[in-house]
Amino acid sequence: MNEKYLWDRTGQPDPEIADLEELLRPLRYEASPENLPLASVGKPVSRISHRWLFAWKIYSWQIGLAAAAVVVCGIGLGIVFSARRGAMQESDMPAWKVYANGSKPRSVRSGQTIETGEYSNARLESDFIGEVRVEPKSRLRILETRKEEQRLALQRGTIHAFIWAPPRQFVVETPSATTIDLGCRYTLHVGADGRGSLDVEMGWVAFQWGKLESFIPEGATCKTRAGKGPGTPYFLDAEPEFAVALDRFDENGDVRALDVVIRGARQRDGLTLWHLLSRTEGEERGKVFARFSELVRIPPEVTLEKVLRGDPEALDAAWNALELGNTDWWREWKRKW
Amino acid sequence: MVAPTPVEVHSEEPAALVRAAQRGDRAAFGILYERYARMVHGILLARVSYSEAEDLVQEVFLRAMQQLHSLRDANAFGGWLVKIARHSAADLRRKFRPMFELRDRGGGVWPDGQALEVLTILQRLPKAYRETLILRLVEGMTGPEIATRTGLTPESVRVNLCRGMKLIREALGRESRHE
Repeated sequence: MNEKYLWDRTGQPDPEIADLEELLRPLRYEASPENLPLASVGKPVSRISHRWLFAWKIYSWQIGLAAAAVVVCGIGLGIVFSARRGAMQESDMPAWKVYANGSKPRSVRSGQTIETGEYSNARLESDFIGEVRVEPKSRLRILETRKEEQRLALQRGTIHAFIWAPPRQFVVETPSATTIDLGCRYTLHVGADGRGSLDVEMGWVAFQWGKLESFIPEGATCKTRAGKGPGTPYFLDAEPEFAVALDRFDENGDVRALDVVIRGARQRDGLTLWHLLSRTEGEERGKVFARFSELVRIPPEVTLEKVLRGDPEALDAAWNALELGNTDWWREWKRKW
Repeated sequence: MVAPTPVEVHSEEPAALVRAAQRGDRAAFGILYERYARMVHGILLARVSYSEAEDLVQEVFLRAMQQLHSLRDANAFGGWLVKIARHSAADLRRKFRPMFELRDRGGGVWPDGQALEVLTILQRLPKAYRETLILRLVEGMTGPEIATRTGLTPESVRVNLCRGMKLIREALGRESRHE
């Protein structure tokens, strides 16, 4: 062992010590003024004079009353301002607070990871974004906390998100797809093998991986596979045979399974068929479109020919015919089919 | 309210900074924080989890600021801060153990499981060795820096480093044999 290097890091670096330094470096504390819990470092420390202490003793209830009034007014103004505000201000940078079973809340910031144990869970809260409950045996990393976007990464486990931030501001990455909140409540699960599922209980969620996108409305679910991205969404009340066949088609493109899906589709399964229009080609797409046309009253401009060549306007019109919501609101986001 | 007299920091000597901070100069306290934060973090890391240490650093400096007026010998600031850090860690252990682990990224690199495993091994060493070794290997302080900041003699630090390093090598050897 090179004791000189161990002592003052001079001389020939000791390989073993250098390796340990390198390995442990990420744990090193980085002192920065914003980590110092003192308001406005650089300003003189205020001291409470004896006169103020005396005044507090004499007038404490009046001061308390005045303070309470200020707080009440502040809350009132806060509600008014938050109601008027469409987007968050810089000064309102969302601060996630994390709560564990019975522990005091702690602030989390980008770069940190919440890892729950076998029997423990945690809850993240932000006044501006929403609430995320983290189930046991989960690992959730905070990637970004910008006012335009809150980006988390669910590496494994389950979260329940209830989001009140404007659409597209809350994003959760998983090993196989990215969820983009469009104003909703949902449950996201990631298994040990990277496969996942997304169940939407309220609102909408977009599930994206590369060029593949799924839009999942309330009451629907979508599976995702490592390396394959989001599967085709379907409503949770669909027949089991329908769900199994769809899963098989998503897994390996089984054409016979696709036939089962087409045959078993109900009117509301138009959602699934619409997604399949951009996940099939040629003859298969034609069969999907034929069934879609039987179940959904499509406008005359949506023709087989347009659908076969993936015409975006025709696909938009087909979507609108589902009456799940107009495409205009999410067209602004991005479209890649 | 009586406004304190703003204090100009003319010297960057620790004792002068401490005296300036005692007079209410937050800039001076800010400099002390920047100089001693790693030491405090290392002391804490010898006792609590990685995520707890991060939060506790702030608490230690808050306590230090509140109690700074009681420090009579400005030259003893480092040792005094070490005691506050040790007490804070002990308080935390008494109060609660978290139900979840909050892990942090430092310097843009995510500490992988191996780093946290080695930290756990370091935390099992005798107290004197683990503090000094964490300050050296994790916080990147040199032996002379550790001595200056903590108030330990250079000889003690040198001995702690050498003996601690020997123990950590043995422990790591055992760990790798178990794998």
